[in-house]
Amino acid sequence: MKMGLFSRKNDKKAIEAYRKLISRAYETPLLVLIMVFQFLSMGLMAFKDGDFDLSSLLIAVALPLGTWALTYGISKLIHADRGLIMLTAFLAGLGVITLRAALSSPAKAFSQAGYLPLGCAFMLLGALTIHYIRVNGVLVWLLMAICAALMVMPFAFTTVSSAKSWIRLAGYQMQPSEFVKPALVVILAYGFTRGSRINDWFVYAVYSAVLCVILLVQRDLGAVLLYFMLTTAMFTVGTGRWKLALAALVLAVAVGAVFVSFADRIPGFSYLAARIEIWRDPWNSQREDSRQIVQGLMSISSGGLFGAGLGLSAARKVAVVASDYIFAAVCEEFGIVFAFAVICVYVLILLRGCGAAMSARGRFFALAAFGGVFELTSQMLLIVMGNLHIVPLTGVTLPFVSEGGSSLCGSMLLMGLVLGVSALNAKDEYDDLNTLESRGGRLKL
Amino acid sequence: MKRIRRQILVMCAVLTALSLLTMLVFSLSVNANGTRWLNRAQNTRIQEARKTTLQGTVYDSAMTPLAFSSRVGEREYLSDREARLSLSHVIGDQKGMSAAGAELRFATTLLGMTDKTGADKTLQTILGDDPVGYDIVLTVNAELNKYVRSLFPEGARGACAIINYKTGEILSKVSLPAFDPANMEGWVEDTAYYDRATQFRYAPGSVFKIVTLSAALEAIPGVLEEKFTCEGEWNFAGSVIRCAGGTSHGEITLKEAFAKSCNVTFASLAYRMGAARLKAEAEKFAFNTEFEFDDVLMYASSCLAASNGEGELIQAGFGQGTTAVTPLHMAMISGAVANGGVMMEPRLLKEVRRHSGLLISRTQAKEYKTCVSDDLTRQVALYMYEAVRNGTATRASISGYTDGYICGKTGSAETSSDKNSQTNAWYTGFLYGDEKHPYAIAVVVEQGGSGGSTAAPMAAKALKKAIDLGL
Repeated sequence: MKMGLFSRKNDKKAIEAYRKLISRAYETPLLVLIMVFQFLSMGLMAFKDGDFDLSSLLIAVALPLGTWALTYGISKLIHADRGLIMLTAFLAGLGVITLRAALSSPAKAFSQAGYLPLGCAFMLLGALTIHYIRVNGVLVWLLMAICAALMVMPFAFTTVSSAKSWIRLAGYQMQPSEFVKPALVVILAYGFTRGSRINDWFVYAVYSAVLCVILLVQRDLGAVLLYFMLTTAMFTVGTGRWKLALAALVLAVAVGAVFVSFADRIPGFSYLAARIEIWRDPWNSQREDSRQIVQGLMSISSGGLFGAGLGLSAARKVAVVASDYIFAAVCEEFGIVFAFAVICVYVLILLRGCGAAMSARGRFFALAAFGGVFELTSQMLLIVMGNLHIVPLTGVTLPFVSEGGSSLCGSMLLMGLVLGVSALNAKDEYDDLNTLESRGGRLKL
Repeated sequence: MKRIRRQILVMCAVLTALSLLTMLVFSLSVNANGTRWLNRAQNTRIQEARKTTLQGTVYDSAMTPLAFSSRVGEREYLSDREARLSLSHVIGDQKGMSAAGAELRFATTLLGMTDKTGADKTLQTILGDDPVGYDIVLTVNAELNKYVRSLFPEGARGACAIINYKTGEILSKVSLPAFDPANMEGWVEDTAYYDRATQFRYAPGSVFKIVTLSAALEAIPGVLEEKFTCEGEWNFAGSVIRCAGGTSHGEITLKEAFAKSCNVTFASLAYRMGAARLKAEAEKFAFNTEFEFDDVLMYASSCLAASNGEGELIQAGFGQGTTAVTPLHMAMISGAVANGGVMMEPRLLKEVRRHSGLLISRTQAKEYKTCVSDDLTRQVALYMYEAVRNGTATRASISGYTDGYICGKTGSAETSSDKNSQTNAWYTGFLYGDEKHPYAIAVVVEQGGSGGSTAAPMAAKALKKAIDLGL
């Protein structure tokens, strides 16, 4: 009779859960490694140029402690995936370190370090929301209304660079599209798992399209691209209608091509033609505006395999190195090998996040976790490929690393969603194990 | 749920693959272009490194030091002023005024900024030595270069390039007016910093007929047996095509038309073939192409690139209108004809050595592209031989030379519609079938008059000198 209860399926699940427990054994060395990296590099910067810099030393102590507290703090509250937390902490710390090392003044590094606790709070917020709140229709509609309101707010404010997508208030400025991103993941995860018939998902797809149009009017093309890719990917996974998604993709590429080729005649978009032109030929053209990409490529290739050394690069010559071109600074400071490792960290986050999505109990959770990591990875790819001159440059940030509070908090919120799902999975598996044991089963390995 | 899992897996795989692809493209493009990206005047790292590193020496192919440093932050150049001026665009300068010179083009090598590992750096720090850059050996010969410069008329502007068409090595590259790398404070006119051999696009005039001829041989069957009638001028749609000096060549064959450089015949050939055909042939010889050579910064040549109206087409038939070519490219075109249709990548860097003299790397000959078939080049070379024996280029012949065949083509390119202004004198040619001296040359003297009387004899003397030096 026992044999009958102990089906093969349950056995497999128990073993999987046990494997997860074992994998924790690798977590401590990884955490120590990250903490040592943070302490040593920030500590080194404290003594750069012979001047002792107390605030750098403070960050050198605070960063590893923060990483440790975050990793164990969140997993004490809920059983979130520690690997994901540690990798995120590594990237966020790397941002502060790179800003401190690559720029001549430490001011940006300090303000970025100041944003980190806020970012962690957002991460926790995302994780707890997913973990404890059952998402229902009313909640999603409310979220949709808030997001729409946030998105149209920048129209009342002035412009920053060529994109008009910032809200300015009392000396602070914020980019609502960064905060709407995680909300959109939740909205679409709900909307696209209601069913595959057209009236199940149509409203949500249209809502996404409206957001894209608003962003287009605000001339934030990088964000339009990210929103569109996110919607298409989540639609494919959620409803399973990949042929429709493919058709939308082809249509968007065609419309985009027409749009770009007529850009110089559309008021407000004449800069687009120049951008494409710069991308095609940054070297031979005599233009002043290709300086950024030229300096960026110089910066990337001058680091060599192992980097110029911490604080010894000339990456500050690149325009907007703190946000759009932070990857170039990483390349020059730490070298190509390390930059590859950073890309690999994003891939690890992707794999681990997709793992959480695939073991989620419930289509909503699966899609939410997937949407979160998809957005982070596609944003990383867009800006890294732009920096490397593979695609035309768009002004999106490198998640977690780039300077900027909005970007950091938005990315942290996305990561929070993924963590929440991973915590739910762990809880479910734990419940499974309990059920198994209460029925008298035992783990065999 | 199962379907969702599967599709998440697919998307995950796509993103992972994209990331891996990014890394692959990243490493390949940095590997292929990294030094070219870095060796630019905008790169402030070079100026910084010069303050702390003992720069390497630049040698010519005979190991004569052209530029050298005895102390960090100092730079000296060879003391022979004439040779120095002839080499100014080969050597370049410390200020980054000359974009083409070795001082900038190979700056990261001379400063040892490339392929220094962390271990190297650490060792240097421990030993307390100044960082030392690598020495480089160029393909150019200083003596030949000095001689070629002396051949130009006093105060003339222009350029000359001599290459080894089998290896692509640049044996001599002269551009006038020059600047003095040892004295950058002195006044020079703005264009002196440009290397006229690689950065100036000249109207080729009749030397372009090599391309038109090659196109006609491919596109018009039986063109060899045809007879053409030249009445000295051809009135086409309001504009008049004239042969040089208003000469009427009468009834001639293609061979005679080429040797005597008949504009009317070549204009009519271009008209018969059409713009697409002529443009395609020019592109086989690398017109309208962005060159991305490792060693040489070279601007693109153009033929029928913007407009291809009939008037433009007819002008292009004999290298006028908007047709434009750099002298080094013209030498490469001649070289391709001599080398059985294969154009070699031009090279300036021969070897990289450690300060101690230890050889680190020696660059290899690289084929740039195969332009046309071997059979076709034989025919073109034969016609170019005829031009030197019985045509406009007779003064390009070298007395006593028997190792091969001297083939060439002259050009007298109009640069303005003003009748009083002199034409640019062109000559391009090569020593055909000479295993020991596979040289191709292009010379242009701005407002030098006729190519046959100004440029051709210069080329003869320059090639004679190169043969005597046994390069």
